[in-house]
This record gives sequence, structure tokens and C-alpha cells, in this order.
Amino acid sequence: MQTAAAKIKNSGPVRIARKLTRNGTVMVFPGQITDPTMPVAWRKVWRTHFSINLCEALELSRNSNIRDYLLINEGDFVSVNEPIARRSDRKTRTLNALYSGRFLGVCSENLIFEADAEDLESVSAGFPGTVTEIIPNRGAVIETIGSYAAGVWGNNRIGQGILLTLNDIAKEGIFNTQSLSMAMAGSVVFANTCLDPEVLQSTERLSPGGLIFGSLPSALLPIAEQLPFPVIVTDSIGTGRLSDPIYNMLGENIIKCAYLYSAPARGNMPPTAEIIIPQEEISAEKNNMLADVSVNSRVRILDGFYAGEIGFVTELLPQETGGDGETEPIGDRVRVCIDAETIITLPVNNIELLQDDKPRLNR
Amino acid sequence: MDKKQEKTQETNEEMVNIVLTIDIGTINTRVSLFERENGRYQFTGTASSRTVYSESGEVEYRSVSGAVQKLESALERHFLDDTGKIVIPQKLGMIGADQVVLTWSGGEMPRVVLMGLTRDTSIKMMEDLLRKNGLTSSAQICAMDGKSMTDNIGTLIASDPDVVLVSGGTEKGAEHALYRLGEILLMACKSIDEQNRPSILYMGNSEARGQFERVFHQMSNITFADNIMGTGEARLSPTTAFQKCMLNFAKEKNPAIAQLQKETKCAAISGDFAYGRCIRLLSRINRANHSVLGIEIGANRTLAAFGANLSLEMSKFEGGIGRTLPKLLEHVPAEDILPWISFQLKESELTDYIMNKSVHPELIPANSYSAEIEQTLAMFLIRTAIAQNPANRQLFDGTLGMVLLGGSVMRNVEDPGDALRIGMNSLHPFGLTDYYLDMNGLSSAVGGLAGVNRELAAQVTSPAMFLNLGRVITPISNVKEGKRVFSVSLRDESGNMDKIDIIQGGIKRIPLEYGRYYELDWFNVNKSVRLPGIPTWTSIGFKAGCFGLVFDMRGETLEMPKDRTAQIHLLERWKNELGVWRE
Repeated sequence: MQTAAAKIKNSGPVRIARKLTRNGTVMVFPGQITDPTMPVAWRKVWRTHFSINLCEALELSRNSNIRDYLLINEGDFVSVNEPIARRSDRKTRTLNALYSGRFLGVCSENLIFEADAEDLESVSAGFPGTVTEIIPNRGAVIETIGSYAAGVWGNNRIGQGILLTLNDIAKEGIFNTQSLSMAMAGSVVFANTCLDPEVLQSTERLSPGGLIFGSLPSALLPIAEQLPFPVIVTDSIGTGRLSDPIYNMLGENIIKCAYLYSAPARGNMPPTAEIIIPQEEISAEKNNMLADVSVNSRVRILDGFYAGEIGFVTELLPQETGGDGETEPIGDRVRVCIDAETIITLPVNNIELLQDDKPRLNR
Repeated sequence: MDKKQEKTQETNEEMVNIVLTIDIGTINTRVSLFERENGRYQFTGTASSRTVYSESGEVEYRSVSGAVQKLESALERHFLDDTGKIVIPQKLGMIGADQVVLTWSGGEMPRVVLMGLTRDTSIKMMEDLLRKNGLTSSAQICAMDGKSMTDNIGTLIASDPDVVLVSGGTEKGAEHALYRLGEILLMACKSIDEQNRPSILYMGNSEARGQFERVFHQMSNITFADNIMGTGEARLSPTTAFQKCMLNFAKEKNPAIAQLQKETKCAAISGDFAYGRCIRLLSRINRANHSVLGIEIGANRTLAAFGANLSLEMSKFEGGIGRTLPKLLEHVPAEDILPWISFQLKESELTDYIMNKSVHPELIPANSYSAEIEQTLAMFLIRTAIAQNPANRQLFDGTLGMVLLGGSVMRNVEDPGDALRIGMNSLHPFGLTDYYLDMNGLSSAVGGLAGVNRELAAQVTSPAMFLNLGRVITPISNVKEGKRVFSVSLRDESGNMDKIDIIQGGIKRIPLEYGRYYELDWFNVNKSVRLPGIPTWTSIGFKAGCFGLVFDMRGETLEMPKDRTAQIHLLERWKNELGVWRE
């Protein structure tokens, strides 16, 4: 369910849907200004259920119609000590609620109550913006003007901070002991990668707003998952660097406030790992993925000997179909020019489309 | 089905000449074309396109139209109209198709809760029903468990069900116990918002049916099927009724399925169910008293289905070669996988590969190294799926007659020998086994067709639909390495005969001409050798596959040496011994 196309926007309208997998309650309204932690929608269930035997409580005979003694209706909320049933014949008995909860109904002479509503699922805005559209019963579309990048992995946390890169990162790009500094506190720091588990673990003491890596070795992912602030990997799992478009996008937004949002896969929805940096520039966004790969598209190679290289598409090669019953159809392929002497043919699945429309920084 | 319905179906089938099957997978959507010429259906071609998802993960119709367009351009035919809809029925000029059949394995699967009276009967039967559909229950509520009503209500609600199956009671049997289950369900439905209430499929006895209908018909979407205990009147079978629930769920979650069904009125069943049905059909045409094992490695799951005499035992491992690949590491440590890779690779590089594959599941191996990693992972996915299948003893008792390997990781091999090696290394069944490769991903299509076009299904369901990789014979032998275990003679159709000594150790391949018939005879079988399920006293006739006849003489268990160099040497030796199909 992951998309192979890296979604990067250097500047312009950023439009993000935050929605539940099933119907729930939408908490926002069109035009509302959001903050990162604002709940957009939630779906709650009642976790605790308990019953009271009314016949025993009111000393009724087994064949009594217990509904005649009820003082509450199905769906009513009751508070502690609130009377819920009364007998006023020759024996006077009153049953008061021992706990607060919602009265669900009568079942085999028992009154069933439920309490402790908990979120089964909830979505929050994750960044400051404006609610532009309500998705009925599911959530809302939130918009801002700024930069956006979708990463490949996140530790399912939300956070924000001033976007920084450290001086030594510009040289090697590896987040190491020298990178640790008090300047990280409250900031979102980006680097190519981190190879040392202890260094990654020790960032917790510095309380950064978040970390962005171009790649992270799989061995470090469990550590990143435990960190209390968001960690987002933008390009791959391993030891690669930040891709140029992401590096450029982040580089152009240094000392702006970056919002990191990641959520696990839910229902149909794939996992999310997003970097949103609100600002005030407008450009049109294209909704395209690999379908929009065309001659001259700028792409990055994802696998194989040239993995990580950036090139331009020079030719689109159509699928060959195996109609003879013995050969597998070969998927769509493209020819990619990496430099004047290197042109390779590879499956279209093995590239990602780069959508950087801004001039690139020199690294 | 009454005679009138059968007659109508037969008439309809007579008018069907062009059939499109569409399989919406997690990564690819595949379209296959079957055509009838001179009264017989045949497979014409297939094409696939990337499955397209909306931002919220729903399968979009572009997945289907994209694949059909590719088939159109490959075959220079037209199936779509100007608006991108499939033309049905076929129009003059060979435009369109007469019948469309849909299967799907991509997209979200429903969460199912089982409510039954006893674990041994009603719950077990519902579990079997789910297993046939590649599903497991997210919670079970059994009247015999003795849990309080409030505990059961909590369990039901916390599992956030999409579908609740209720069963229990033979006809004229338990009724009140079913009402107790109904009360739990009623309370849970009251607690859940109306818009999120689960669909209910009632498969209990008919006495309690009326009461369930009265209580739930305004509360939720309830469907009634025949008693799953099989003692009631036959109106709607539990299998068909559950398929309808699955389809309704899939349509709700994926616009592509809803749109395709609306436009073409196609028959649609879940891909896993269709796959199981294909394996069951194959079990009918397989060697007598021998089972078929189907292995299907998808992006998000691996299926292992044993079929024998039309019965099915299917298990599903929730790890595939895509996003769920990291689940493999929960069952097999990376250090156990590494010895099976024939080049130097660090454990961290292997786990990086697995994680990268999970975030980019659509990646196709770009070189022989990544291809080998993927093939090794496929091997362990198969082992894990097989370990979970209760029928896996068939690998050892000589009853397994055929293995069908499927899934993109199998199809995208450089040489079919890679697929055969994955199968041999992961399964290592004793006795005589024919290996086949589903080169065109047709198994789910055939399973889907079997429900609506029996003639087509009957005509195309044969081992010839798949690539015959070869016949593999694996004895159980204590003979020392390098010593003769037995001798065989092979006679071709022209009467030419070869006598060959089979030596203990390694893989012995006897290349044969693909598609020709041969006869195998046994001589001098060592007394310490067992050949489960193989009648050595008589000749065995067979049709040669790509790799001819293969003797797997590697021993009872496939264990790798401790030394890394020795491991690499051994893997290379096995690879060379098996060789490639066409040099």
C-alpha cells in the first residue's frame, strides 16, 4: 500500500485529509483553525460493562416484570447514588447507582450498564492549518501553505520544533556523538543517517522536538520506536543519505517550525510519516504518482546497483504480455539517464518520481 | 439449484465466448482472457497493472481499467468503451467480453467475531468456514465458556467487528442458549453506534431464526443462511452467504470492486477462497489418493493449501513478500536465514532489505543478489506457512503428489529452476512429487470461474495450465554419501532406454524432453531405503517437465554446515546440480 513516488512539495498549498477508518464523530468545523494536537475525529467504545441483578436488589420474585420498577430509560446516563429503580409496594426498596455509566438495557433480570468510554481510534490535526472540508463521520481536510514531504517510516508520534541541521551534519551527514548538543532541545533536527544506537538513545535526554533521517538501519528502528518524540525516515531503511529533493526542501526551511506526524497502518490506510512546514508560498500541487512518470521526469532509483542515483527518464517502454502461457508478462520499464554515459533500463516500480520544482541547493 | 436454474445457467454458458477474469491483488491487478473456439475454452493472455489506492487506502477503479488497457494494447483488442468501462456483452467487432469474474486479495479484510454454542461443533465449523476464506476470527464467544454476559459484551465490542457469525443448535435442538447469545449481541449492538454496527450472519437452527429476525432486522444488517450443522432446509449455504458478506464489505471499502460489480454484474469472490477452490479442483484430477499442495506468496500473506479428494486444509501466514515481510522475523531469526544465502551478507543488511521491502513492496529485484535474498525469504515464508498447516504431515508420508507454486516472487524468477529450488528447499517432501509453477497467476481466476462458468473451469483446470517444472523423487535413506541407493531405468515413447545409478548426496537431475512421456522402473533398491508412496514393483509413467526427473538425495533433513564458506559451497553445488531449464 505504500506509494513508490516520493511526495515532496517545496512550497504551495498543502492539503491533508485526516480521517478515521470507520465512522465516528468529527470534532471540527469548516474554517476552524487547527493546532497540532487538536482532535479532528474520534471513535469511542465503552470498555467496561457491568450488571445489577434487579430481582435480588429489590427482593422481587423471579416472575416480576422488572421494567415496571425502573426509573431510568435505555441510553440514559446515571451518576453515582442516582436512584435507578424503586419498589414501593409492601416492601420499599430503592436501588441507587454504585457507579456512573450508561444504562444499556435489561437482560435476563439484569440491568446492563457501560462505563469508561475510550478512544478506539482518533486522529489529530498534526499541524496548524485551516479546516477546509468535512468528510462526513470520518474526519476533515486541513490545509496550509508551506512545504511537505512524505517519508517511508515513522515511530507513530506527533511533534514539532524549529528545523535545524547541525554544522557537522553538513560534512558527513552522520548523526553521531558530536552532533549531540543542547541546541537540539525543542528542535527538529535532520541528518543523513545515524549508525550508533547509543547516540540515538541518548537523544532522549536532550528532548528534541523530533528527528528526521534520510535512512536508518533496521537495527535502530526499535530504539527509534521507543523514543518519546517523533522520528521520521524519509528515504530508505539502511545507511543511505537524504535524497536531494528532501535535503533541499528541508534546507530551504531551516529555522522554520516543522511538524512531524506519523501514524501506523489502520484498516485500509497505509502508515503515515509526514513532514509539514507551514509557510506562505503558493504553487499548484499535482496528485500524481508513478502514473505521471513521463519522458524527462526526474526520478530516483530505489534498488540495485544504482540505488539512490537521481536521473531523468529518457524513454517509456510498454509492458510485454505473455500470451504463450509460459512466460510472465514483463512490467512497464523505463530508460533512465543518470549521466551522459550511463543509461539504464529498469522496472518502473523501481523508481520514485521526484516532484521538486525548486532550484536545488549545492551540497 | 433447481432444474430450471440449471437450464438457464447452461444456456447462459453457451452464449459466453469471451471471459475476462480480474484479480485485484495488493500490489498488482491482473486481467486474464479466456476465449472459446470450436467449443473449447482456452487461455489467451494476461496483463497486469499496479493496483492504485486512494490516499485513504481504498482500491480505485483505475487499477482495473489500467490492467485491461494493457491487455488491449498487447492483444490489439478492445474491451473498454470510451468512458473506460468494460463493454459487456461483447459487441460486433470483437469489442468487449461476455462474462467478467472478479477475485480480490488486496484491500482490507473484515474483522469477524464468532458466536456459537459449543467449541467442538458450531465454533469449529465457523472456524473452518473462515479458514476456507483465508480468515481467522478476531474474537470468539462460546456459550459453554461460562463467562459472564458483561464479559462477553466487552469482548465483542472491544474486537470492533465488521461481521458477526452466529451459529449453534441442531434442528429442533437448543433454542434458549441461542437466545442468550442473541442477548449479548443485542446489548453490543446497542452499545455500538448505529453506523458502525457489524453485519450479522445467522447460521443457527431454524427455530431461533424468527426471533433473531424480529430483534435484529431493524438493529443491523442481518442475513440468514442454512444451519451450519447441515441439518436444516437448503436455501442459502453458509459458504455462499459468507461470500456475500465478504463482497459487501469489500464493496464498501473499495470503490473499484463496487464500480466493477455495478457495471458488469460480475461474479465476485475473495481471492483466498477462489485459490482454495482451485486447489480443491486440482485435487480431483491429481493422482488417485495423492494430495495437492498450493503455495501462494502474496504481498501481505502466504497461503498453504492442501487439497485431497475435494477437501481442503488451508492455512494463511500473515506475512508476505511485501509490507508484512517483517513478520517473518518474528518466526525465523535473521541468523537462521543467512546460511541459505549464497553470498556474503551481514545480518543487518538482510534486515535492512526486509524493512525496505516492507516500505516499498512493489520493488522488483534489480540484480541477482536481491533476487536471491527475496527467493530465500520466500523459502522461509513457505516453511512458516506450512508449519501452521495441520495437514503438513503429508510432506512426510508420501501422499503429496503435486505442488503448485504461485505468487509474483515465484513468477518473476530468472529461470524456473529458481522456483523449483525454492519449493524443494522449503518443502523437501518425501516420495514422488510433481512441481508446477503458476506462471500466469491463473489459480485464483480458475477458482472464481468455477462458481459461474463450470464448463470453462472444467476445460482449463488441468496441470497443463501451469508450467510443469518436473518430477522430484526424495527417498528416506541411511546410505552413506557417495554410495549407490538404487538404480532406475527410463524408457521414452520410442522405446529408447537408459539405466542410471542414483548415488546418495546432492541433487541428481536427469534432463528429459519437455512434454514427452516416459516410463520409470526401479532396480536394486537398497533395503535401508524407503520411498514413501512409490510403488517400486511396477513402472511409473509420467510426462516430463522442464527439469525432467530429479532425485533429491540430500538426506532426510536439509541442514546447513556451520562454516560460512561450506554453506556457500553447498548452496552453489545444489544450484549447479539442478541447473537451469534452458542453457
